Amino acid sequence: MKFLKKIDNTQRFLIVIIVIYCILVQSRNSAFLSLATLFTMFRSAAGTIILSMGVLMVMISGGIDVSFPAIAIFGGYTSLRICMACGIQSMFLTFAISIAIGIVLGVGNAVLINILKLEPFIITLSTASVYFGLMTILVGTKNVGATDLPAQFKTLSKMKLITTTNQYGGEIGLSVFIIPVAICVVLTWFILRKTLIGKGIFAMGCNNEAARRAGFNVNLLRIFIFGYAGFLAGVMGVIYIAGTNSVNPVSLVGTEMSVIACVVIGGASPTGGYGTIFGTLLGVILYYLFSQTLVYLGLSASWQSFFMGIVLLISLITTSWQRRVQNRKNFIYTE
Amino acid sequence: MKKLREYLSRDISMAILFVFFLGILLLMFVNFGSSMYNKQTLASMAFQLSEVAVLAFGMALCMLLGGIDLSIVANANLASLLAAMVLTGKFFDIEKAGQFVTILVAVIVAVCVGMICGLINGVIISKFSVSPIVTTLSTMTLYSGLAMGITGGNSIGNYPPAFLKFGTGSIGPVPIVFVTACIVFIILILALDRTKLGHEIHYIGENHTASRFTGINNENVIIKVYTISGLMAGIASLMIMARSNSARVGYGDTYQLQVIMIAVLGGISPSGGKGRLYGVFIATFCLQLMQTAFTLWQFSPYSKKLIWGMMLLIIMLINMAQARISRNAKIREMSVKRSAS
Repeated sequence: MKFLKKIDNTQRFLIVIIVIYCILVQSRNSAFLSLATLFTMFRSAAGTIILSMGVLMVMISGGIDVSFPAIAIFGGYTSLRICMACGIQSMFLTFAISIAIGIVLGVGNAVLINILKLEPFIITLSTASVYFGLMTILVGTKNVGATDLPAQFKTLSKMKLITTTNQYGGEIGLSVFIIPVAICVVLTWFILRKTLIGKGIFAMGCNNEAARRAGFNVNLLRIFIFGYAGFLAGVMGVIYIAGTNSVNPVSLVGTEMSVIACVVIGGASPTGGYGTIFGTLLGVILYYLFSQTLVYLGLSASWQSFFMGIVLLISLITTSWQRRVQNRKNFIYTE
Repeated sequence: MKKLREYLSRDISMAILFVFFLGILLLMFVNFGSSMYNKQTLASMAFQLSEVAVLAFGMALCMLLGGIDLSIVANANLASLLAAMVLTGKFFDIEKAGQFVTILVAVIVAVCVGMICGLINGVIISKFSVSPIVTTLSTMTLYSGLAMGITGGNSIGNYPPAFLKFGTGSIGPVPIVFVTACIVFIILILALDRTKLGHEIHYIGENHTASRFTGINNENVIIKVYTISGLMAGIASLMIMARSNSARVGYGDTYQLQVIMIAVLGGISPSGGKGRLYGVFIATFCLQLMQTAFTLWQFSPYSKKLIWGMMLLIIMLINMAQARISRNAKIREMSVKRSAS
């Protein structure tokens, strides 16, 4: 009961949608509600969950980041190529290289925003193409097939914690991806809710100037936020390559919109200052429900982004409308 | 000449743009000579430039208002797909209706779809107070999702030859699409300088609270501007269709970055209020020159992307440095005046 009181309106709305949609799909396909579906869905959603945590943090601080897919593929692909060239078999080093690249590029974003003092959106839009272009020039765009992948990627891709059988008798297991995903989610929760940095991030999103006058070093905080988003993108880069089991370095770029959509659907305020991890997770679940189960309802998967757009607009409009009415009462006029 | 110099010193970002433009022209001439500046290359440049220019005008208007329209390319895509469906006879029998009627209906459909999509953006931004970036990001998902759902990702091509005339024909040496872009440009410039709406756009971009208290109906102006931006998307969609003889989801994905860059390079401040539309037109020429040079140099699309991104960052750095210098000069001037009195 205590939990029910804690969740906000957006999350209730999302839970209702998810439950109704699940019932609808279940009535069409009785094999839908099973552990096997959950495990497959989790495996494909793992990367998005990690990235969405970074986007959530950036959005709470009042900015928008669109460069994270470029950072993720830069980190993951470079680390893969280095491992292939030097014959590195260590899982730790693979992640370390990718994460280091991610942090450097993320901090680069923050430094540029601090210098230029412009909308983070425009700056990350340009750095996204700079990073991606740099990677294609420095590392190349060669596809790496499943057979050429180093051993650590293969083990990461195959290792399972628990296994279950699906309706056809095939074995489907809970991927080992749950460990990095859980670490990232808990770490984000800890930073946002239990540390002074987290309070600073919320303060920055509510009012940048007020946060500065309250004694937060806003520029340093921004470097931390984007560095952390870069860190998460680095982790995701390795997981993405292991998850697809082969890599086409051009494929990830262009997915930034779907991750941002998940976070905004989850109730994070696009102008900053509000956002929850639980809501973001609900947003990711909804996205993957649409992407994988529209077929059962007789619609092709190409309608997915249309439905996402509709849910996105409805949740944006309702939350914004409430705030607008509230503001009008206090004689604050916004467009 | 003196007048020009006086004018340029007043508007420094315009001067930078002018120097930049002349520099590129010269560099291209030294590098390529007549292989760049012959009639054929110039004509093909004019063909390619028009659609980007029209999209950039729409983006520039939204930026003048302090907003941004990220859905403009998705909007153009949706409009061109629906118009393509009319032209290929998905909605009614084109044999029975005749070529003229079909083309007329297609043009009306493209323009109306563009304007309706723009109107939706405007209403959500002004009446529900959602921030422009997020609104247009999500309508971008919506519009491209709708286009994707309708077509399933296939391209629609083969239009009546009379329609293709619009994209490939020219009046004398000048392409028809380029003439259209120029007409749109002249109308917009007159509207911005001479009409009430134009002045209101500048006021709102400069300070939206102040403009509200001077009695401007901010919400109506915002809706109008985003609808105009949608209209630009509709016109650009017709140009794209007629030029490439096909419509496909995801056409012109790189335009997104280019269009924003053209607006910023043209001196439109991303935070609103400042900027001139003719700067945008000159910036379009700059970019098209570079684009042609890249093709002659045979750059890969990825290195093109890198260069676009770098340029956007450098332009913003120059603009910032220039703003800081002029602000410092102003402060110095004021302190001198104060100490004199």
